[in-house]
Amino acid sequence: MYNMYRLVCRRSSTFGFGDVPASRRLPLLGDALPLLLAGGPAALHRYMDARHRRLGPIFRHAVGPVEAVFIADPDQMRLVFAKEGKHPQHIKPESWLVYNEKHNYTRGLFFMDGEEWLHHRKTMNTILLKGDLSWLERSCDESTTAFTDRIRLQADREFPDIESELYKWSLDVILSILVGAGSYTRCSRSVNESIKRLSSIVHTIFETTCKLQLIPAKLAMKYNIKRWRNFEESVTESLRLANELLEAIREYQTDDGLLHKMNQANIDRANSIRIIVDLILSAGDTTAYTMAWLLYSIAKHRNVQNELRESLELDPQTPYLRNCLRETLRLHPVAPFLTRILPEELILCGYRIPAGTLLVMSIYTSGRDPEYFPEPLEFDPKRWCRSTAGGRSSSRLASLPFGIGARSCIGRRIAETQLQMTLAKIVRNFDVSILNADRIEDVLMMVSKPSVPPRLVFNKL
Amino acid sequence: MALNNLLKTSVTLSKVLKVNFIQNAARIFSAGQPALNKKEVTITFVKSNGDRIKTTGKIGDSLLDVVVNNNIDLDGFGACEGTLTCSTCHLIFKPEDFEALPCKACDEELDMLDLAYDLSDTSRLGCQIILNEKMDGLEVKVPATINDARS
Repeated sequence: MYNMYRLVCRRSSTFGFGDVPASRRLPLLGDALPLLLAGGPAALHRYMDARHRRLGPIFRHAVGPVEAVFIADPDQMRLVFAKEGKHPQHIKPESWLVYNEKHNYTRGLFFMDGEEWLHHRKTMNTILLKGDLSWLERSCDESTTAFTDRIRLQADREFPDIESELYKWSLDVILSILVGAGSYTRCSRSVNESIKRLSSIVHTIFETTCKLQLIPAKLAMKYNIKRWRNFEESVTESLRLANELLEAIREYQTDDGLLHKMNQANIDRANSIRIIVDLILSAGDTTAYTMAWLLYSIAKHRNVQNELRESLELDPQTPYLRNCLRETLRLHPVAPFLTRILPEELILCGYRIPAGTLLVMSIYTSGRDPEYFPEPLEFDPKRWCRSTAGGRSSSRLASLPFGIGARSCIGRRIAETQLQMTLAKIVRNFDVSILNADRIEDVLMMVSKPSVPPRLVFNKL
Repeated sequence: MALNNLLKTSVTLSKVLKVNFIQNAARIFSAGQPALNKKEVTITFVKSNGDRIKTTGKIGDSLLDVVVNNNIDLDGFGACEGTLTCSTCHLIFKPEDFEALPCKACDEELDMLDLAYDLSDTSRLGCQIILNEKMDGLEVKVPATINDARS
């Protein structure tokens, strides 16, 4: 079956767009019904994964009113990134666009396009991805130590409400990055309540957005249905809280923080606020859930946890730490689909795909591709080790959790730093075990998250 | 030291005048004032069609800076602007030059190199190679991009 699957991408003749395998659509309902039967939007990644298995590495599928082309072949995904153009475009949730339009609200990097996007992205690149990034480490260090201190207070029994705690941890790190490590402790004491409120409301946004996914947002707004009202309230409230928080922490900013650095880079106040607010909203849940998956994975795989602990003792910079994160993101990419709108015609898997087509790259599927990852469902950080035979370089193509290129994740270094640092601190100080007997599945709530929170016990070492 | 002071003054000035310091600095340096110019070395980029582009770069600049500052026309080169999130500034070195490079590729660079087309044993990313005196006369190969292959 898999050999057949590969052949599609390696043939020499070219076929038209109409020849791309299409999944069956129902009149009027389109693809909504089969998707609902498969478990609704929460199971979208598994639904599409099954489609790839049946139809191959490329197929057409309607996403709402738009027909999209899904691909899962790593080499063809690389081609899409290589051809994404100077101003790469992705799709944004329709409900958010409708909200922004209705409230005349301008948003951060994720919502910008063209020259405006490029200008701000370049400025943020110099701060968040280039040059000396030791300030990020200092900020992460302060806030993650506070986190392990809180774990210590709850050690040796089931940790209560890990999900909220991880949300708080993730916002704490952002807070520390915004003001700088030096004033984090003072600042966090004074805004502790707002952080708690913000973390619970950000959580709600993703749930309410998700519930709107199968309904055209414009209609939902026009008829003011309950789902739309809930969504609208959660967005308004979170934007209000984020702005309020930003105002409250302004007096704590130091040279070592993002607020100061953006100011130095001459980003005006209005733009700086919209970029930071979006950064808070997009970093909150993504890192929180990745941390949950990391803890789940090492708790389920005692051998990995022990090996990590031993490796850290020998070398605090051990590549094994990074490989644990890589392996977690391979199996649980927080954004299981990456999208691009093709700026020019492209031949993908032998099919001529016209300019303007919405391309969806199925990262969840490619990360579980047995040709690139033998025994794909096994959690094995060693497969990323360069010195062993298993560490094949081509496998990196098949797992791109942050995307690649000019429009890849702007928060990548922040996320990598905080996740690795936190994992290292936890593993050094605690033995982590899990009480859930069953395997936890991924569900999609805008981002992929554990279907049930992992029930963890941190035993002091 | 004098340069340092000048830079500090420019920063203060730029704050007052609300102009972008980076752009100003680039203008100062590319205006060719000998007193401010750092020492230069000669670099040759050899394109996949055999074209040779001989140019100069300042010590302390990266090979990506050299391409950008000299407006060298290499399609799609340096798309992510040296943020180590793509491999479009992939260059191939002669084995002896490769061995002599001051720093080995870090993990992040190796990850991106793995995504490069036509990867070789002497491949590096241009954004990570910082020019020094010893590199005068360096010749690097620019691998064919996916665009070259199709046109």
